[in-house]
Amino acid sequence: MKPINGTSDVLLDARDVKREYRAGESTVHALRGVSLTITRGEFVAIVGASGSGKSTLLHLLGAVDAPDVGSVTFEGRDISHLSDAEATRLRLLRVGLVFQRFYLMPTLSALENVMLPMAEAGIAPAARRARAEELLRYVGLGERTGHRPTQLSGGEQQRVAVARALANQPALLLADEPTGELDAATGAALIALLQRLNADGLTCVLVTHDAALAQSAQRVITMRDGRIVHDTRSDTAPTAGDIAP
Amino acid sequence: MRATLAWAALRRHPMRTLLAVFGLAIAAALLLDMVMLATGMRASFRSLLTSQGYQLRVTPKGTLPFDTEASVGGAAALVASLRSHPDVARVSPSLGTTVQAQRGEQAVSAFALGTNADVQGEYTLLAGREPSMPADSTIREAIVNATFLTRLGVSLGDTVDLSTERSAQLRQSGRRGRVVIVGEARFLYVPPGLPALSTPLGALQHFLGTSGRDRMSLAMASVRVDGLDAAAQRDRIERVRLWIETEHSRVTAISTETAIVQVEERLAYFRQLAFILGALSLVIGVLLVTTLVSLSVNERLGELAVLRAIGVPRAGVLQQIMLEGLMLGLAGITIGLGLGLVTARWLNTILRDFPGLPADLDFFVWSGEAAWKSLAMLLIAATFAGAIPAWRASRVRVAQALREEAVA
Repeated sequence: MKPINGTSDVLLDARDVKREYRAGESTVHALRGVSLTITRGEFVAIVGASGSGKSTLLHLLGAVDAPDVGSVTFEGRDISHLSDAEATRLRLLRVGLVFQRFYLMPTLSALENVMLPMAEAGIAPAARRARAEELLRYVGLGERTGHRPTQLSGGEQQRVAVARALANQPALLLADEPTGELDAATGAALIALLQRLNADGLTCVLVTHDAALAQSAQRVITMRDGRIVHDTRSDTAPTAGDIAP
Repeated sequence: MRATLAWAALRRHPMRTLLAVFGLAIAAALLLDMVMLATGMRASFRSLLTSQGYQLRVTPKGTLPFDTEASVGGAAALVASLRSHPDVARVSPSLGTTVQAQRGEQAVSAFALGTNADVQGEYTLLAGREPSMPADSTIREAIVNATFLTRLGVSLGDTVDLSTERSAQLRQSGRRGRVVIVGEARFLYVPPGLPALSTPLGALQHFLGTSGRDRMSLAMASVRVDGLDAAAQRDRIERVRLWIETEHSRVTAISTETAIVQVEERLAYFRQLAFILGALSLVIGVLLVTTLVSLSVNERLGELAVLRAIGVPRAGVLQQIMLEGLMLGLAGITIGLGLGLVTARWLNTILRDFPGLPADLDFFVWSGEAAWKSLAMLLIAATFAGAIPAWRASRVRVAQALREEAVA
């Protein structure tokens, strides 16, 4: 394993980030002081047991949530205290999000789902249609643009979700358990897609329990109890204890 | 795109959406009908009274036109006096009574109206011609309404026997006559189910003998108001009305405006009822939309959180949800408009059959401005009924909703 050298071309920088939230009567200390730096072009997997703070960290990195303490800098801009409108705009234009359950709009076609963020960004209808078609071809769904999510397999739905995340040409792709609902073969195809995106220059940060997906990342961050316990270049697979729920 | 998403959300549960639209349509139809009822009777009554251009009605003291069989004597002199007033353009005297009409074995009790065809404002001729006034004043020709034709089984050109009952008070035996039906007319103030006939005033007066001689039940007067503004018109009519009552103590003169005010007072109950039911329909519409949209939002909190996460602003979510309310409202109101018009027509038919009401009185009258205003109000209410759930949806805590979705 090699130590991380993330000082050049920094995309994301989190400093001593803490976050807690209420869950019923109790308080969950999701992050207890996390610091990390992600450079452009990295392929990072965040692994750890359930409740270790992976998803919370991902939300903070993507301006979906804000830290209670500490700071998160994205492309040199502090995003810890953005207004809702600013954070929304940042997510729309600079961050692509992929979720475990795909969360496609069920009554829209694959093409319309991909066009949705572009419409929000104010891209002209013809241009967004052309780009959505191009993206769907890129993820291997060029022939299924008119299909609704219910007419697609899980793997196809997740690929549409990836295309949607790429709609506004983000600098960062965040994926929360992207293979969590897929079988091994479909998951492998998705991993290949993500690797291809990374090879094309996109920075990818994934939260996963999937050892195969974690192995495919250049860098693996292991979390436990709201803290980073390992941060390594992934020349070797993470241990079962790192990844197991 | 927002409209697409809103439409897609409504299509997701078609039966639920359909039921909500139908509920809104009923609310819209009720609101429309209540507005038509509240404004319709007044408009219809005004139209009825003003249709023939007479602004004053002169009746025996203390009576309303044809409210009783009361009549006033010295009709010719009275009419001549009215016509002598410089502001009076026309006077139409008439006499009303009940007669028995018979043809063969068929006999009906009918309302007989004596009036002069050239000035009358009581009926509209539908077929045939006006009855002529014979030189010897003997009753010979009459026009009748459709009910008369149907009930007696006669048609134009047939001859009918007329008779009156013996009057013990006037020590007069029953009168008999025979008329040829020369025309069919729609009598404006006669209930549609009542057989009616009309002959020249002089002929009916002659036919009635002592009880009809030089008598009239009503005189309608038209006042010259051309070129005057509304206030000046009212002033002139009122001056003529006061002059009539001052000059002729045996009669009451009532202006159309006063009659309308009196009718409005009697119809206040209907207007209040219409107002309450109309307001209720608005509330029902608002509750329906709020319930449906709230339900829909609660089901889609995770989906809405994802929309927010991928960059849809709060205002976008707010607009989308409110659009759902607007679409429901538009669909409901469009259907409700048709439903309301059909229902109003049906109810109008039922209400017009009430005994004693003039044939031309409508209860539900389409008033474009009032109807559009009320439906626009319902549409705005339906749109803003979605505002509360829309506001909730737009305030969804994205990270928390995603966490909860992941756990669910």
